[in-house]
Amino acid sequence: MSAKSSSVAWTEFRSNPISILGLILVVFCIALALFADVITPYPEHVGPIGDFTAINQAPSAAHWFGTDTIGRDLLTRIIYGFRLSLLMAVLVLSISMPVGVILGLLAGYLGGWVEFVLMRLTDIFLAIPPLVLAMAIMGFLPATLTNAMLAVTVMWWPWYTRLVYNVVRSEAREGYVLAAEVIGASSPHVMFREILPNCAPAVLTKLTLDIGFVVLMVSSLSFLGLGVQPPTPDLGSMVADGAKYMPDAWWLSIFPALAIMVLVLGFNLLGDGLREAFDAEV
Amino acid sequence: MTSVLKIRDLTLGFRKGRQTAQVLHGISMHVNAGEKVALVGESGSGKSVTAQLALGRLQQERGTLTSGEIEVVGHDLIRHPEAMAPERGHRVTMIFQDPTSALNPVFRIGEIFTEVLRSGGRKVTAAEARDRALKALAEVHIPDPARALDSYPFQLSGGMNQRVMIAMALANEPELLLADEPGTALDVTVQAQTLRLMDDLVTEKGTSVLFISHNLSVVREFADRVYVIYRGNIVEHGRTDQLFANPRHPYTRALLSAAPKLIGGGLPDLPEHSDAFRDPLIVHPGCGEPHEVSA
Repeated sequence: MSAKSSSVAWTEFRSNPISILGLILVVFCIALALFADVITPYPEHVGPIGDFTAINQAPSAAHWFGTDTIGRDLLTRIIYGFRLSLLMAVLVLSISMPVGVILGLLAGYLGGWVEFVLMRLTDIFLAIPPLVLAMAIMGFLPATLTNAMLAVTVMWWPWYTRLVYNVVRSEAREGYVLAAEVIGASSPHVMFREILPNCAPAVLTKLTLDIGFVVLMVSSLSFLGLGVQPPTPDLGSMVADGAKYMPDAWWLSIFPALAIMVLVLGFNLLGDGLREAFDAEV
Repeated sequence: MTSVLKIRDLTLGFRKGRQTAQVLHGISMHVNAGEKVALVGESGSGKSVTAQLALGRLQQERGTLTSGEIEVVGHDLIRHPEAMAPERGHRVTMIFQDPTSALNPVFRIGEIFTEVLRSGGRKVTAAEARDRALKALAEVHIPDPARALDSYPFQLSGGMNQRVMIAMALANEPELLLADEPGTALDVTVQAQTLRLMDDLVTEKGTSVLFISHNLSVVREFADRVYVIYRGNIVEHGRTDQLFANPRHPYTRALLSAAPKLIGGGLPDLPEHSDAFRDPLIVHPGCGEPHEVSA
């Protein structure tokens, strides 16, 4: 990995209009999620109580995205859905990323049987399609928000282990590692102080790309009825619920689906921009 | 005369499964206080492993078989290689082939320097470290030491980084400096400048140097005494002037004739291996090992 100062990376990032579009979408979604209480026109529609005088209304000035089967404002629920999706993505990654990174460092630097055990375990996890694995875990756990997050976390760390392992294997051959060892640095010092900062560009890029994928994964679980349970507003379960009323009440599925798309697209474009800017090998 | 580094009948083998690859076949050498000694040989002859053994690193790896004696700054490294740990970076330091890769790209030179001064758990305040680093960089003729300390390694040229490495290696006033092909990654003019600089500094400070190289012209400029190593055996040992004026071992002669010359022809045809290269050790007059002299 080439060493680049952050200002060079920023200049490169800024010159790519697609990356900037990603950044704008991401900031937009995060802002909506943060200020949901203030922005949404009908914050009381988060719960199970709707307005029975206005069920299944098509998009109008009063309800931009229409209303659902019990008269709740769809725009309100989509914005709260952003909040939940982002929160889950952050929680899932804030557990799986550090775990994966530490295991990758240990496997890559220590080698020997540590490497063998950790990397074969990683291979086993990576060999199973992620959604299938998450569904299998959800199969014998009650379908709750916490369990859905747990399932996604369990299948997510191996990607970081594999990524960091590869970066460590190439960095460990660099002279600075030998130089640190020769002046008597301990293994933890070499791993965490010397090598870890050099893994940061790759890990941060993957992190940005992954927020989108985790949102997609959690939504898929909810769509299948294995994740978030009603009445909590969740983009995936909203798409699933609305699918029954297609094509007459088309807005019930289309708008939540578009919302997922915007969120995932934003993070993917941002992640791609970062990858190019840092030359990271994700 | 005391020896900072003393190696006697050292053998080294690597065991993998049931097979053992013998790398060193009983070499003996010594470096006296304040002396510059070169160890010369081709790739794979056992030069670098000798340096790693002198740092006490290799002995602690699994599958390494050693016998004989290595004594570095008074520590027996065959029996107690771990005794070397607190000495590394202080009484014994090292300079590497590629200076730029030896400096971690995510830290400023100043931060790396502080780590070096603090190696082995020594307490050095930030201000004191900066002060010492500035002085050390000025000693290696870096034009603007303060600016260099605030730079990242990739912002400096290879020659500058090499000077930084030399400054770092000498900052803790080591007794023994292991130079493993220093500056081989640099171009020749810069390499020559930095080596001369290193030569001046170690002479001034009285640091002993074990200089590992395959480059005979560099060795000729730099070393007081030369050991030639071939396939894990020392084949010739003499003072630099003796050895270059009168190379007696067939392998040394082949090595010398392989050095590129400014005038006349290409490289001579050398046999890759020759039975003559396995001739016994030739020691020039006045040179032997300390234990042989006293015995």
